[in-house]
Amino acid sequence: MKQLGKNLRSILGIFVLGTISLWGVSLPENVPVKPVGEMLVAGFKNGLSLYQNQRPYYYNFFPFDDYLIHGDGKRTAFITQEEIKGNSYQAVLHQSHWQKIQKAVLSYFGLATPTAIFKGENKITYSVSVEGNKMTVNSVLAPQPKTGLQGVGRTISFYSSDFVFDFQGNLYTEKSEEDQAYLKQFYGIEPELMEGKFRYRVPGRSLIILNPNIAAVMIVRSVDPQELWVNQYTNHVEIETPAKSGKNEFLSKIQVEIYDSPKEALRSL
Amino acid sequence: MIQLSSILSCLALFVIPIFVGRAVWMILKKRTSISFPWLTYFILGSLTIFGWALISQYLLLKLFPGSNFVFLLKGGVFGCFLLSLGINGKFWRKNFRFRLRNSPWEIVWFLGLAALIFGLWRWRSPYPLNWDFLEHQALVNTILKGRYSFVTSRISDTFIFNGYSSFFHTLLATVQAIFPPKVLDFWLAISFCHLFLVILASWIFAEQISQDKTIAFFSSLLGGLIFESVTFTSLFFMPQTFTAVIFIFLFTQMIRGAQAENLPPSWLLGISCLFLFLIHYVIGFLAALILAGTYLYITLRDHPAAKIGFGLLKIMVILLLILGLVSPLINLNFLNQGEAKFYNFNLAKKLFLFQRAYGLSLIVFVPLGIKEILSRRKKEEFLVIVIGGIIFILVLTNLPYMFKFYVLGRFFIHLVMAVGMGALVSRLNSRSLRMLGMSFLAVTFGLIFTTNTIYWKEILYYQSLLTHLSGNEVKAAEFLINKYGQKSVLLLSDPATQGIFEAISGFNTQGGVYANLSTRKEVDIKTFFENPDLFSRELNGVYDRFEVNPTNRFLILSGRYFLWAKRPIEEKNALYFNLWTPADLTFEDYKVGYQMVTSRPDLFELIYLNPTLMILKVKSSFTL
Repeated sequence: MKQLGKNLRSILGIFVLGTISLWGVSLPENVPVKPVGEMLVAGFKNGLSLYQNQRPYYYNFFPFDDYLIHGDGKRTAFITQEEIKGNSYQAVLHQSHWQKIQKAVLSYFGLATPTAIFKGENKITYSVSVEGNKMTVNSVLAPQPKTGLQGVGRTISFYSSDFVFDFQGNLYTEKSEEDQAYLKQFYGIEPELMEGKFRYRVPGRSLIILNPNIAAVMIVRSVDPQELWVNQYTNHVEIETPAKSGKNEFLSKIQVEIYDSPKEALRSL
Repeated sequence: MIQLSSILSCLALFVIPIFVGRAVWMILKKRTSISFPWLTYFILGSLTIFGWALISQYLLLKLFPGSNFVFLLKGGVFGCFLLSLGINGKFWRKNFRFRLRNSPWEIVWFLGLAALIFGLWRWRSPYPLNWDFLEHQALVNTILKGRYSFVTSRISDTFIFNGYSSFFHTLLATVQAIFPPKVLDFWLAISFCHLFLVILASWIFAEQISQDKTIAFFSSLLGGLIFESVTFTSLFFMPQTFTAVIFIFLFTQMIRGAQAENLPPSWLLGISCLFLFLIHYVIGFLAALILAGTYLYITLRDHPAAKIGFGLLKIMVILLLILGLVSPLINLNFLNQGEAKFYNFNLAKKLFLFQRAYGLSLIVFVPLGIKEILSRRKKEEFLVIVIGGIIFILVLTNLPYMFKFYVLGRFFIHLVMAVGMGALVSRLNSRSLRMLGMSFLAVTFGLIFTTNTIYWKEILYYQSLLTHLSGNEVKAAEFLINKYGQKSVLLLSDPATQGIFEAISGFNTQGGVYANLSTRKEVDIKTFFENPDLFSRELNGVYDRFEVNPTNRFLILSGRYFLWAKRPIEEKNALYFNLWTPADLTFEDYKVGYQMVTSRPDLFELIYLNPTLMILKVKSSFTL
């Protein structure tokens, strides 16, 4: 009995001391990080972002930009300006330090992806699933508002210096003639600038974003019944998904593919 | 798969000196029995090879000016090796069954642990992660072209500070001359061998001191799974880590000799100290001091004058503590052309580095280990606390490069921790419970190692890999070798790209990763936008004291280069700053290259292009 007690104390001591040792490890801020083709996706305090290592350009999936479309046509952001100013929302990337350790180790072996949870008036969970160079960014709005919700608008930010164009040859960002000539020279692409409005419905289901300062090209794809828009005023791609009534939560998806050049992107058609 | 010639080259680094050293031992008619004889043979053999290289360079080439240094080195050493087979023939036939002190299960443990750690470390990293291998391989490449000296900075301008002799590189150059490897494969193979030796050394050291296999198990576990920044002991093969491994084997040899009342002779100690010093002056000097001090302690501890020695030791410890307290007031950041500033860590930074490598296990197990050692009252273990403690105080002082001494200290600290862990496990009275406890701690340290690896490799993302080099850079180097292999070439780019290409292509750059300020200014692309002719003149004016008039100058415009060009001037000029990760070319980068080649074909010609870089030939004609 005495020996049993001694054994129990010793084994417990080993477990406790080992656990304390492990608890003290240092981890990078943004774990997990998941490669998506030439780019990476990770969680930050404002949401999920797609970026390329060493280059300060971020393509964001933020609840401050995503919006609810109400029955009367009005739009409100998932997290509103009032909530931001009053700091009355909560952003959660990890539930605990142990979860962070677990995710870090799993992500090293490609078994974890970033998530971000935002709790304000609405609770939104962002997560990703990745297969090679293809990524789906899911957002779950729970609970879905009972009445008056017409749809949800998901957004991806872009830069005014980006080439944003579709496969029908429409260019949605203003580029110099010199840059357009280089685009034709390097990749044989010659889109025409859309002018006159600030928000355009993309005729097809795909949109290309080429940032001249990163070595990657993004294709954003919508699926039926989503609508794909480009908002030049806010520099966002907007993917609107109609609501389904009677559901407890609203799941919407954005599909993004990453290629190393426009030629590769065009071949994907 | 690693190429066979690379594996042979790696194994030859140990086998050839051991054979040659044994032959030297026989010639010197040394019949003295020593423990770890292979260690002594290795040291003697390595020094013989180095001696032969120096004789070739400073004597034979002067007597026979038309001779080729590499031929003399390769031929001489291989000849010695063949001769040694004859001299040692009887010995090896008699001792054909290699008598291992360790049981087969222990060997399986060492190899298995090394394989597991190496696999974890190399996950998603196809190329060596030891950035320093670039400069060491660059020096080896230059030796293999026939330029040689005792002083490293006289061989290559990549070495601006002579922290060691060319001993380490001579050994590498010798085996690479005899068995030409694929460079990247060689460094992967030698890294694995080094890790194996660190694990083996940690086990043997702990077993000799404590006479306890459980403690040896934990020491070997820590030896392999703890990876510290700055010292890089377990996973990077370089002069400071090589010194540390040999030192621990020597220390163990001495302790074993003392316990058997058969200390190695003092002349052998002297040669060993010389070996350590030549591999790395500073680390080797401290290692030699510890060996010599331990030797004196063992031989004179019963001598009446020993009290004076112990008194001096106490004074030294007090002085070290005072040094530690006043060190923030001493400014040595100017050392090594200002690089020292980057290696001068304050206490908080040092504690953070320890936390990254150990989690909280240092705080948890060191006090346990000290308490256990004090209660066991074993002289050798107490010696470990004293030496480990002195090195730890040195490490914590606020002076540049002090953290590097931990490369020696970690073996002692790990032994103390292992004693603490062993004490916990030994209280369990059933074998299966002890196995459970040991397994739990093994998994814990495995996870600590994994999180440390994640932190260390965090900045190295390139597509889905975690790497310093890209496949496209390797392909570009192969293109240059195939097309310009025998020609005179000077490569120009940002320091990181220069360092990489100098190592993997064998072509020269000005300074590699340590390009001087003048070169950094001359290769900066912003000059092209201001004045293309001036840019061309500056590129043609990059002065390399070893390649004064190269026939070909190639400018490598890599994604890394363009990122470097956008950095603030302080970072561009800093020796400590590098772009550690590959980067592919962007649309804007392609534009620049295209402009250079199409607007000024008289100055630049595109000779190679892939998604990561373009190589331009810099034409030498310009109007005055």
